Amino acid sequence: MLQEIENVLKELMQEIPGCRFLILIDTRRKTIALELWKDKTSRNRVSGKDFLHILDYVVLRGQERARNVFMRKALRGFRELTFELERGYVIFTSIPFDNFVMVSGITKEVKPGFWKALLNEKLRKVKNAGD
Amino acid sequence: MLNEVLKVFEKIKQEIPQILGLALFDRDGFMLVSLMDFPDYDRESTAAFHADLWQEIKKFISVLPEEIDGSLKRLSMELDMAYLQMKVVGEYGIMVAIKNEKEMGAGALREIIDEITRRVLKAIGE
Repeated sequence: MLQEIENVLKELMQEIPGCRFLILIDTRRKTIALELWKDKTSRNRVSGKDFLHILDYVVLRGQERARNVFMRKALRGFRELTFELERGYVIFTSIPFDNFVMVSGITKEVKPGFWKALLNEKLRKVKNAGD
Repeated sequence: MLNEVLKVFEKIKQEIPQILGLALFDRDGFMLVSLMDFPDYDRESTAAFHADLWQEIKKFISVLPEEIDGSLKRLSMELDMAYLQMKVVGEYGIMVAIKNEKEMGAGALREIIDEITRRVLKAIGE
């Protein structure tokens, strides 16, 4: 299944020039399942572990540290976390594969709503083909 | 000034009852004013967590590839039960948490937070 996902993501990256990187996080094992970078020099500054760390900090530690029940429950139902920056977006999205979160790095030329719909559609097809 | 912001928050909460929480932060992530509608909300622990989280976010942004980096404009999170969004304007961060209802999509939240930001900036004289 991971190979099928990788193939789809590679296609997407070629199709959308503003997509700079794609990282697949296995939240159960707390590991990086897959990393794709458009430009290898981008990797000099950041690694997959930095993305795992921030997701862990916001969602999982948020659950541990939220003293009120509502916030703890709310954070369990994670769907998406988006950083809008001056030049682009970093989007953490829960995908139709259990325990996996996809991180996309896209430039401002790409509309985030369009990107999320496209990514979801491609991954849903992989999932349906595998079921 | 902060009392004025609290008044703005109270008015907005009355206008849009689906709002669960509103907060104003400074550039270091310290909570200046908040209005939360959680039954057992603990201001101190939430403020402490937020300040730590803000430092982590700053570190994270500083290592991002330059094609997409730059200062943070907006941070949003969608959960099964709620949407959270923070807009950064100059020295301040304005956060809104709202119930995740079908008719209240991320686009609507964007408009709500823009309106709240306008009112808060007016209240603090920016």
